[in-house]
Amino acid sequence: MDEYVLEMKDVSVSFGGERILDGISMGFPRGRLIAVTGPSGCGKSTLLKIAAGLIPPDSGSVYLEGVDIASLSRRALFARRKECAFVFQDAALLSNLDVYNNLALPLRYHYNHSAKEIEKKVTRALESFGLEEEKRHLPAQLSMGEKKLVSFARGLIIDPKLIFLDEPLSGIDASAREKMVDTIIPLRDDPATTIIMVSHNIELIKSAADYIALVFNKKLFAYGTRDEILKSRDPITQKILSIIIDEEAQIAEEILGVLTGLGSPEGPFGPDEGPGAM
Amino acid sequence: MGFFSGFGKWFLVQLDDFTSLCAYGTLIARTIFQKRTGIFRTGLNVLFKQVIFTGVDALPVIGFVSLVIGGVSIIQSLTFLPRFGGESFIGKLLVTVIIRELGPLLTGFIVIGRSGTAITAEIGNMVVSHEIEALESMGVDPVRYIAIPRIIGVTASLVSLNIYFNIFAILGGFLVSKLVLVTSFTIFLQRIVQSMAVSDIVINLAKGCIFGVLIALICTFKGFSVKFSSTEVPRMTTKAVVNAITAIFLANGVVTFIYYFG
Repeated sequence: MDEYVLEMKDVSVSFGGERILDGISMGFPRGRLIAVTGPSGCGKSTLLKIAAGLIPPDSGSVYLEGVDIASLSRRALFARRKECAFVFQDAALLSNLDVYNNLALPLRYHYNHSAKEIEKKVTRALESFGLEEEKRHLPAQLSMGEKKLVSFARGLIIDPKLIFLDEPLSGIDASAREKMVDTIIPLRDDPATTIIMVSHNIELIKSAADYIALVFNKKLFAYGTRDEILKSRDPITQKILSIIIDEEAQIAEEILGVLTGLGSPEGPFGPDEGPGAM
Repeated sequence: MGFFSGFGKWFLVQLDDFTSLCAYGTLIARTIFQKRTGIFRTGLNVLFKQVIFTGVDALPVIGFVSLVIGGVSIIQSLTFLPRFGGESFIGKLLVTVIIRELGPLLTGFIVIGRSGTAITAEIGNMVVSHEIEALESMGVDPVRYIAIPRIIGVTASLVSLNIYFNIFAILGGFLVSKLVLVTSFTIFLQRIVQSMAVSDIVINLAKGCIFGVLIALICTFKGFSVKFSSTEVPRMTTKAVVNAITAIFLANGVVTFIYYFG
């Protein structure tokens, strides 16, 4: 494998006495897209947050560019994060700031840019995601897809070298999905940018990932190139992949079920259920 | 045995809470003196909003409460003091009761009720909705961006509100005196000024400063103490109110003790 930009060594973490991750050791090669996948509740998002230094592990170490992040001072850790972007599953936009100011915040905080420079950068970022009209909208006025695009734009505005994506395609509409994928693919091809992406979406993983990490039962079950994992003949690896595909299909089926119900004369509710039922 | 073990557990929890608050206070103090690029602009915006909310928006309620307190103090003193031939002490009484004690305390209570609760709930909700994590992920220090501007804003607002409280309380006292004693404002003010020493103003301002720092420190700390669930937010808000009230009472006692016996 290539040189690691980030490395986890024997990382374990528990919440409320329950073990979430157990002895995870893995390296993230520079300039690649590493997809972390596994069944629901296996600790993928926790792994991503530990890798980003947002959750300290109970044991083990995380090395960013060879430096143990536990040894960094608070100030040094925040300074290093200037080169990282994290797109949360629920977007996590600042609810009291409009879209423009959400994007401008990291620029104002980290750099001495003039208001004009900030406006130029924010406008360019909004244009690239087709969000110009939402510029003065508050996060509460946006759809989930738009929120995630704003969150992605906010992350990219500081030209990060390391990008963490937590389920980038979950819960968003087709047009937002397309914009998201159209942004992820060119970033993957940039040798200076490393992307660590947690995803359930096998299609996205197939088309975008260089490496795949399979997390199962709180442990790193398998880690290798995309072909090594997807074409693996190991029956357990195949079984885990089929669980992930089934889970995704189940979610799609549930959504479809609701949509089909909306089109039926009785609507999504039974004849005696739902709002207005007597 | 049950009582002692229960008390022991409660004491340990309080001790843990107190040491965490002290560590948080140290972190705030250390962060304030660190130089950082750009932060001044982002922090200034938060500070400005905090001063508007805590200082400017609270002015009507502070004005109303202080007018009533000033008037009531004069009515009470006029019913007692003449029996002992002490009408001349009305000015001194107003200065001691309002400027030294009641002013800072009541202003503190109003700020806790209006702004302290809002600060804890706002930060708590930001934790639950991962906004704090989002700030950290961008390299934006929540202590620097959220806590420090609020601490400075609340302290500056409390000191200013304290001054307004004194002015309105004296005005309330004058209005009542005018009705009862037919005193002119010049004479009334003269009595107040004669009864006031520099130490009274220093104590008033010092209490405003100390209470402001304590209230904002406790309320931001409790907000950050929310961990996962939105049900923790009202619980932490209640704790913030109780702890802040206790803290300003204790601080008031300490300052008064130092003044008389120090």
